[in-house]
Amino acid sequence: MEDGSDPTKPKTLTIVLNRGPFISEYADMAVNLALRARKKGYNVNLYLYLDGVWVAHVRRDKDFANVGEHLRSAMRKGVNVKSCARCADEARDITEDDQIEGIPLVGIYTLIDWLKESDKVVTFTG
Amino acid sequence: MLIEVFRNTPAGRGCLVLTKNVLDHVSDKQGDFEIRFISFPSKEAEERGIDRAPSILIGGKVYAPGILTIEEIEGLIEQARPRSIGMILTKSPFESEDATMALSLALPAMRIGDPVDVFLLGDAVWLAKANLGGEIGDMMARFAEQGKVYASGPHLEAAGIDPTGIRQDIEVCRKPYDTLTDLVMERWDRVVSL
Repeated sequence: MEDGSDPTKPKTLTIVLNRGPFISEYADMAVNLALRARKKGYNVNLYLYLDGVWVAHVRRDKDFANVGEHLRSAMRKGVNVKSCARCADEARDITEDDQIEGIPLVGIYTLIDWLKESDKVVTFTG
Repeated sequence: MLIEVFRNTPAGRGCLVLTKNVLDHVSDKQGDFEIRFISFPSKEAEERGIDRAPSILIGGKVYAPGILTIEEIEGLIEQARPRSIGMILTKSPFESEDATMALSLALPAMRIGDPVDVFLLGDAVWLAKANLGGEIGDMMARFAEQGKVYASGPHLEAAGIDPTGIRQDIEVCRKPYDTLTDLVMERWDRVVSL
């Protein structure tokens, strides 16, 4: 690989989502892309930022297709999901217990690390 | 790749060193290089916006003045290497200026040799319409002469846009997230999402 990275190691995609669920399709786009990329064998990170943290709050089963269900499915397939702690807990009173299990609240430095480690980054910011 | 070397007339020591370093670098590397020596000052240099010599312009987009070392020249050639750019658009041209901004970046990028693809997702599929009017319609037509446009099939269907009503040079993706994953991870060097 011309950038010197290990060609035997799966590439990493980081997706940054800034928009909440049910107000636009951005959350669905982000999770659909994450799921598809994971199914194709890539490492996938999804960072929930700003209003994107509300997606992790869609926890319960519903009688209609919803992004929370897709997110849980993506996590079961191995998509690595983290929420911005400042955006969730401090700004929107969303604690880790309010979120889908397995999504930690982390600082912005985690996103910076992901950006540095990723082969590609896609943002859904609306 | 075109390397243009701007040299004083008569060429001084700095110009000769730069010339030697360029030739040494190119002779040492595989690849398709074309080298042009252009006098400075000259009308041609002025037209290219060159204000000093010695200097080099690589691929028409990376410019550096001074007596550059072989390593510096190598770094500049790498910078000038064509990079494919993918633009993911998600908004209709009626609700935001994003498409105009994206194509305003895409058109000059293609002029300097960087291939650009545009992927229409969500409401951006309205950009696929064949009879799109106004400035954005003209820009899409100009873009499609050289650039590739992909559009999400399910979003076209959801918007009720008939396949016969879209530009015929657009590739409609029945599984848009599959195609988008392949493009993002394997085809595009750089991704811009708006």
